[in-house]
Amino acid sequence: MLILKKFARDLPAFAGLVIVVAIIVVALIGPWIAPYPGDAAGSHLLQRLKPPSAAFPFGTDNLGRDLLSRVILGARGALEVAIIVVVLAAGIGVPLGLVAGYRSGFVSETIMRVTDVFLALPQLILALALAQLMTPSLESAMVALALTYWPFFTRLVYAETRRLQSSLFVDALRGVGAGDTRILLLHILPNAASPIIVRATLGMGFTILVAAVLGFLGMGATPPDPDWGLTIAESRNYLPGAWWYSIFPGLAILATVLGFNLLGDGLRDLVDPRLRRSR
Amino acid sequence: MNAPILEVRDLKLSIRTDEGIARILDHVDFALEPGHILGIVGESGCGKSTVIRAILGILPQGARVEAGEVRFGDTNLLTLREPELNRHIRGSRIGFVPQDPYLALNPVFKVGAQLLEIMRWHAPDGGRNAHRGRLVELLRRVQLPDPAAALDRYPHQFSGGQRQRLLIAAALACSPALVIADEPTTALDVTTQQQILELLRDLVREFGLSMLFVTHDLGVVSELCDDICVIYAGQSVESGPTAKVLRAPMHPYTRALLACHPDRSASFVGIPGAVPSPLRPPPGCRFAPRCGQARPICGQRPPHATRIRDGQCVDCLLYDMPESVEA
Amino acid sequence: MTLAPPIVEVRDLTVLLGGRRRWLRPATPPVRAVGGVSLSVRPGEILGLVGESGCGKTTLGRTVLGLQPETAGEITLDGDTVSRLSPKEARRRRSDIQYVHQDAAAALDPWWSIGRTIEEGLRIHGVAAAAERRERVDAMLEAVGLDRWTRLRYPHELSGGQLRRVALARILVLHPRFVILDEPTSGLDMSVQATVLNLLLELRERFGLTYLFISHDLSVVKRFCDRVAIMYLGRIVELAAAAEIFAAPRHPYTRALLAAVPRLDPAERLQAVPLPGEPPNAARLPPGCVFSTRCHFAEPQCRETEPALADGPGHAVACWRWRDILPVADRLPSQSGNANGPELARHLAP
Repeated sequence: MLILKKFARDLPAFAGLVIVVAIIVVALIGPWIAPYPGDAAGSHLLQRLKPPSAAFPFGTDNLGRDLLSRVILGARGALEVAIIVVVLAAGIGVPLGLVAGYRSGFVSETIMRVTDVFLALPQLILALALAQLMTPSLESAMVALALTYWPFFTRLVYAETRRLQSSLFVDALRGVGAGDTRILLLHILPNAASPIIVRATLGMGFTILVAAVLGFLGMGATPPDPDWGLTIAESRNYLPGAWWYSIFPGLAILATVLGFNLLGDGLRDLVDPRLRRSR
Repeated sequence: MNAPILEVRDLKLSIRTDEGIARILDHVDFALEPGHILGIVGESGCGKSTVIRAILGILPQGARVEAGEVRFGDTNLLTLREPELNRHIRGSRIGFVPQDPYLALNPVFKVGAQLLEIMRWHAPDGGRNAHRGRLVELLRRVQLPDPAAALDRYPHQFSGGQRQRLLIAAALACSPALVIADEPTTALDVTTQQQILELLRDLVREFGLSMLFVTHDLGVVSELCDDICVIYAGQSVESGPTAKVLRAPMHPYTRALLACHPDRSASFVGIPGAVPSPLRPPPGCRFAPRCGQARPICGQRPPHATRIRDGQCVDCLLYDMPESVEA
Repeated sequence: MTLAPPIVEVRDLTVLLGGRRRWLRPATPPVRAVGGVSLSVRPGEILGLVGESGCGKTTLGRTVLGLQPETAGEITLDGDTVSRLSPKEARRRRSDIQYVHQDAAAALDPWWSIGRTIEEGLRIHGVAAAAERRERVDAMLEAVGLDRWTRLRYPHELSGGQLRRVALARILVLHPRFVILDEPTSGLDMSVQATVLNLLLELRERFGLTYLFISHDLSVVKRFCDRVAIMYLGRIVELAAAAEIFAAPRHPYTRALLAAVPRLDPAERLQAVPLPGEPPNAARLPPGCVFSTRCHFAEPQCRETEPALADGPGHAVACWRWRDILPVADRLPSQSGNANGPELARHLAP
């Protein structure tokens, strides 16, 4: 409880938490609060490119679809992508990091050198290249993103594992006869969990951003998905006249990424010195 | 009797923590005579390190001095601001030897550079060669082998005892009048400790220093310190000339502490109970809950009644006699 | 009268640490942490292992435990040879030997409750029934003086003294017979040490334990241990009953060590030649007696051949000259005065 109090005092982190919670709520109850839920697919061609008004608070797009609804509905897609990508990336990266960190040798070196190669390439370029190799779709975008993000987990977990495996409590565990698997999975992994969670949170924000870029470039979501990046791409032809068309989805991306980053930073501050001393 | 070079009067200090206000120091009183070595003795958590920090003005955030003063010469150090303390007190008039020689030196800079930096900071007009020459002499005086070459080495190339000698040299670099040593030998082996204690004793005599020596080891106090001040849970309970206090302790805590010492008991004797948390300190005398001779009044009013006898002071109502209560 | 056979015996144990051979880089020489140590511990006794930092006592403890493989020599447990094993195998064969770390807090996983931590040992050793584990944990917590609710707490919630008890409970629940205690009183205030030490004595009685007590604190060792071994740079230089070592030390290092302990009454101090300088680098040991570089009484023979730990009746010393030294050990060399002192002081004053 002490931890929550401290967290509440960290204003940016708290703001981040509020934003993230808001986005999650919007994503969950999206279809019920969007004024025109049908606009995910359907449209009102007569209302094309109308500026923000009482009926359409965010205006309409080139097919007459309500932008507010599409932005709200897009939240779900964005979060889905973020969660799946991060879970996939962690699923690849964390075990590799554990294995590489626990015992030095050929396997460890190989894993870390491959990680280095992936880290040397700019993530966006890598994601684009991978997405190109597969047929453009949201699924391939997610796989591509996961494949660019796993090295961050590996590097992190590698460092934590190496640190922990020479710690005294692991030595004490070996003393009472604990085997390597037990130590790795039941002791080292939970102790490394905090930095993993921080990295995952930051990763969510990053993923949403890159997914939006992929969507913008046509490598991710396909029409008529209410994807934020896709919407911005569509808006290109109608700028600067229909300014609302790109501004609102852009703000949505901004807010979400900001929220996750602030939350992640706050968690990192919370996790590092404090949880090492007091749980 | 000369005026004391350092006097701490009725120091009261609290620190704001997440769990509440910790009243670390409740009533600390002691005086250091010029040319003497005063040992501040107490167990872990008694606040002795906090007293040192209060004197030097390096308290953590959230710390508040609630009462009392620290007289150094004719200034109250507690009233000085950070820039004044930095320029005129720390390093130049008061030298500090910290506890852990492994942590006090910056590992990425050569030792000579670090020590010269201190000297240049306090005497910017002295020439570089003059400073260097002085430093080499100082290092030789603290018995560091091969002093000139030592300046070009990094901290990790020295052993624990050698690093402590470096820190002692650093403390003396600007010829302070007062040196504060915070458990400088606790982290050292007993044979190295013996060397360092002898060195300190010699330096104090030679340079005419006054020294405040914080420790938890009564044996060290007996061997090194002229005077002693015993602290329990943020309250100073007894002080006086070391030989007298150790031979005839007056305060029940001092007696109990001495009884635990291996030189006084062949079996293992402890003090029943536990040190009170500064978050919830007992009222009045903080030792009362564990004291075999406590009376109800001990928990009611603070034991500021002191009794002075041949330089010995004790804060205990057992000795509260109307005619000897000092104002 | 037949003496019970030793429970743990170590013969000519040598442990070399480090010494990595690297590809394309110069090899780092190994450090002889333990050199030719022979000890035997009788069941039920408390053997003290005393030395300063770098003397190899912790390495010796870990080697007896099994986590540190030995380079040469033999280790027997109840007469069976258990040396030359991998750490995992060693721990399995030597499960009667357990180790209590110096830093009790750091030896516990901060994310595991106390109960789970203690239970884990039982789980590993095959106690499948949760109820039985719970019972044994509760019983052991009580035995070390903690209440049952400690089971639910986490390490950061307990004090140093409580954590030490937890560390004891954790290994005792496995019913060891030989416990290696690594500095059990270091960092504890004197008033608290008594509780821990009395508890250790109580547990020895109750569970029939044998202790290897590693410490640098001579005053504790003197009152707690039956026999004491003094270590210096990986060698045992003196081994005798505690009372005798402290009353009549023979090796010059032992004497210097005892003389260095600060006393409440300086007059009680043992008279001995104070140790000059620092111990030599363990990676480059001097030829002959390891102590010869700092020994006031060293002679050419000392610098050539390493003295063996001569098994005197009940009091063994590793020194060629101890008989010659003893009568004159009380006489200190003349104090080398600080002749340069006053001049220096004047020179250094601003």
